[in-house]
Amino acid sequence: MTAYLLRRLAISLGVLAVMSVLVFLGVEALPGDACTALLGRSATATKLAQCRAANGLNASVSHRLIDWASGLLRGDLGFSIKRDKSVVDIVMPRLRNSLALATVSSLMAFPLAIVVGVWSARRKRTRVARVVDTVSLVLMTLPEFVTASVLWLLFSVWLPLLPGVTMVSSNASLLDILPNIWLPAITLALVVFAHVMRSMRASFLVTEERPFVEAARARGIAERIVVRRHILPAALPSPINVIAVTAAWLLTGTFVVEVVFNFPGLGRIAVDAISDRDTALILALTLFGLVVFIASSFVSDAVTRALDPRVRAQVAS
Amino acid sequence: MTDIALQLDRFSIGVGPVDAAHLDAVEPPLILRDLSLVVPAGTRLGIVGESGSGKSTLLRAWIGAVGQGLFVTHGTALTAGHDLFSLADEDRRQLLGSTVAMVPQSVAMSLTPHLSVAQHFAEVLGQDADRTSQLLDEVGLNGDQLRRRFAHELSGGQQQRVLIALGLARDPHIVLLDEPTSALDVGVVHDILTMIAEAQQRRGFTLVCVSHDLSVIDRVADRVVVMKRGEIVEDASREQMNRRPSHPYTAELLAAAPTLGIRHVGAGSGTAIDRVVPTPIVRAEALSVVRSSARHRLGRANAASATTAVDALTLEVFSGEILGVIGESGSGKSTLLKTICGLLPPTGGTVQWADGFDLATPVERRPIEMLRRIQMVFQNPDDSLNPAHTVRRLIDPSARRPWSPFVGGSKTAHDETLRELLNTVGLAPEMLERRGPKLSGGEKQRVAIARALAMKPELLLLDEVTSALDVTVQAGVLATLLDIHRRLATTMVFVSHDIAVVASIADRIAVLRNGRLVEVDVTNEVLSRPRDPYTARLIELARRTSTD
Amino acid sequence: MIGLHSTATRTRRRITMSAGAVIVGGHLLLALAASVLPLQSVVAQDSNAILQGASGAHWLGTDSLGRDVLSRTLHGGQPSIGVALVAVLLAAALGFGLGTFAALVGGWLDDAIMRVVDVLLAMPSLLVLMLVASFIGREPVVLVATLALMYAPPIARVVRGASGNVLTRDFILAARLRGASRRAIVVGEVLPNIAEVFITEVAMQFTWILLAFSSLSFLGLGTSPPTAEWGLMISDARGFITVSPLPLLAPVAMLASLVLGVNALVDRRAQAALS
Repeated sequence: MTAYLLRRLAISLGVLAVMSVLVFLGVEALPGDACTALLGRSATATKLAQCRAANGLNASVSHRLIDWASGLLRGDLGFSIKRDKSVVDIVMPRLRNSLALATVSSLMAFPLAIVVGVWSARRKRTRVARVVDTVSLVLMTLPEFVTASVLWLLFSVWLPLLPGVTMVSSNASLLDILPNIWLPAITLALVVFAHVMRSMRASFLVTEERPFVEAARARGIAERIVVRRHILPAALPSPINVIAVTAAWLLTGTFVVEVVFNFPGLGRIAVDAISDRDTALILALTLFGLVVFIASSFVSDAVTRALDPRVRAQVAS
Repeated sequence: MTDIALQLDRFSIGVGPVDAAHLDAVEPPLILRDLSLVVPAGTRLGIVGESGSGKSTLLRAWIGAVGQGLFVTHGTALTAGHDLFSLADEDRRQLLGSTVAMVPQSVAMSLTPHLSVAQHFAEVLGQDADRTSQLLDEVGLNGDQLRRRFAHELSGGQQQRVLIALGLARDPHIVLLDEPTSALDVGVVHDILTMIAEAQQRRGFTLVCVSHDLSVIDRVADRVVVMKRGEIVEDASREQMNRRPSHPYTAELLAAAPTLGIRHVGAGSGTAIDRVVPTPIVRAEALSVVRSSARHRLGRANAASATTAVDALTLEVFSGEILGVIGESGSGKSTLLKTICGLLPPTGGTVQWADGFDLATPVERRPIEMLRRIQMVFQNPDDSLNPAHTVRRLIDPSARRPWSPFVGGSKTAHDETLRELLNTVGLAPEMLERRGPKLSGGEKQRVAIARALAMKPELLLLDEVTSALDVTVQAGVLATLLDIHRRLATTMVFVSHDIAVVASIADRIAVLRNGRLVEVDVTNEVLSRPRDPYTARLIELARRTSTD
Repeated sequence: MIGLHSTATRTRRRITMSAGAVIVGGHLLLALAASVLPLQSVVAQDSNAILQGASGAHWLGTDSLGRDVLSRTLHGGQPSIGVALVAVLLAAALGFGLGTFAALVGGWLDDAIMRVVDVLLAMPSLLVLMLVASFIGREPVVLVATLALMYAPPIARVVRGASGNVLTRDFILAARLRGASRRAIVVGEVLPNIAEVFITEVAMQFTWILLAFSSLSFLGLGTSPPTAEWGLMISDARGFITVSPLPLLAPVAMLASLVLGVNALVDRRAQAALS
């Protein structure tokens, strides 16, 4: 198992390296660069040339790639010309905020989703279960800006319980940010909850149909134990994979929700960066997204394998 | 109450949603009809029936379980004096495993895949977990070696034994066995049945064994109940049933089971061979076929999982004969057929058609005339017909293709040909517009045969075509095949794991083992004077399990 | 065996599907015919009638620029439905071709194609859309092409899985034995058996594409003002909820109903078979 993990880790790092280069080249390929974005309408040939010379954009692609890569290894993510700040200074506080948001959403959603998924599967023909099913379907398929706006309307405007649009700057202390986390966290949690719960439920029902479950029940084993020892381990891999994917999404896909609540996280700045064509920032954020995705698929793979009976067999012998 | 183990009192199970309010309004279709039965303690009862007879449903009723969509409409089923359907869940659970134990079929993965054998036992034994090795020994397994294994590391026979041991773990008074030997090789079947009979003798529990196979019932039961479409049609002692069955259906079952007799005339007698000079139409020499079970992952084949399915086989198929090929699982018999028709490439040796055509040519590269000559019918009736097509389309996918035997001619002539084909395989012309899923197993196989015959083949390959069918249906299909052979003189290669079935239809028998040819000769010769001890053992096992 | 679902479940399913069909049909009709309906101008601004509630002149009131909400709402589906329909049809064609090809060819090529598909699947579609919209342009052609490329992979995955299942069955062997060409096998044998699963998946991807496009417009990178589009309208209306909620609620209701309608219409049994 350890050998497998180390091999997977090496492959993941390799993939990361290759993909980073591809991302860099991809951003390079986009029309326009930081200077055209900075100067906007007032760009003339001379001004562009001056700007490029001043910011080292004249060098060849490979030269800049090497600069960027070596900078990464030193912890230097580049410089945002448009915002006149180092990328690290822009990203770090927002990263902290996004991590906080993702953590709160995860804690609200994942445990509850697994529990409700199993609960709903065991009572599959009751009316309550059907209601839960429909509601989760609605939550899953509505666009986040709809859910977010409705929640905002309900809990911030009509019943002023929670702060809606964040007024605090991104650099504020975590304590100040906290009250502003609730609404975006709830919105994200609702979506994530729906996905994970449905996966858990479907997987549970499918597993329950398998012959070994009936065989265990026929041996007189208590239902509680049948669920815990026989059904769950076989049913978990599927929802765990969904958890990994949605956890990654909580860090990389929250653009819309952050915009609605003006939450100072990575999603918000990403939208701004893309609209402003701030290439240095876009590069850093895309790279971050890559790391998150690769890490989550690595963890999900490892956990699934650990639960696989064939792997357990090797470990036991 | 303790001298009656199981009882049924006008017991019925029907299909449909549980809706007591509407029970009187509409009569639901019944799976079990008005069954009454008394099983005294210590009896060894066999319940035999074909598919749709309700035997498995009945067995499950004795542990208080009904399948989804089924419900008890009438009567009671008592297990050790208790009506499990009216007990509270907890009370019912107490009885399961300790008073009555059910042993499921091992085929369907009835062991929890992520728990080891030892863990399975620890769960039912609790404090007495150290009895695990003892129980495993009792069913003929090496306890110390197997206790840490997982289900996927055990063979089918081993899994079945573990399930039986789990059933016996808490010393139940009643043991219910659901098809304990399906999909197991003949040798393994024999051993397991012997073990069950011995265990029952030793422990004295009431044994109920459900099977579609009469020979299995014969080995473990003293009393036999025959079921047909949810009703009990016969209830007699084993001897009485075999000697003088009172119900025509029982007689039909007994007659349909192929027996290993020496024949003097007709199929299997070799007389057809004597009459003609044998001309080989397929000649295989030192043929070898290696199969790899793992798929290639980005170019690297997994060499470890490659198996030699056929190993330096030399065999001839003579024109006009029915060649029976018998072997257990892994003998290479199916692989041989697939190689002859070009679906699998050989890795060594040669295999040729009569005119010298190299049969190593894959299907996609064979000319149309060659494709027509060799056709195949497959084992699983549910898989061999496209569920989206009507029978008409299945037999004749398109009248416009150049190779189609139906090219040209009017639609009426076309229809006439189709109807004739259906007639040849014993199906009514109304079948043309039906679709696969609506047909019975036997009907599906007949359509598959018609599909093959539509190409007017010279050689018909039959891969375990009756193995998945009920015994009476099997008898019908075999009769049809013999009829086709008589009328069309098509050469046939009939593959099966059941030597009795093969012997009832084949002119010559070839015995395969681990990809090698053990022996081949005229049927009567093989049966009466087998040259190889392996063949002798197969015949011996078949004789032992058939009715004495 | 006789169907195991009670009549109650079957009736409920039929009602759900009919309701879904009505809703979706209504939306499609509206998207086609909104321009010919006698509605007020979508773009005409009236600075004297900002953020009014429902009235005789404006049945759903006006938005922050004095435009008629009813008219804008009824027209608001055109851009997103139009783009989503074209994109999903392209994605369906691409995905089907790729999926069946991979299933037929098997071996390492099949694995390689599916790895690429997995990588594409993992890419956050909204991010890619935003990048394309910002750097290359937000013309419908560009966005449709990007959407088709991004949403073909899930369809390819499903098609590959379903055809893979069909291709292992014996009736395919029978087809090969009578010399059926690859094309004949795909069209004649495989297609009829995967049709239901394929159509369900395409319908579901239609909803995802619709959402992606309206999210893009919401973020200001999709439809350009003053065109009426639900996402854009919701974005505009956000700041003025306290004054008048109608300009927000109307497009929300339309978008939500369309998405729910498609879900109700889609046969959930086929969906369950996928998971």
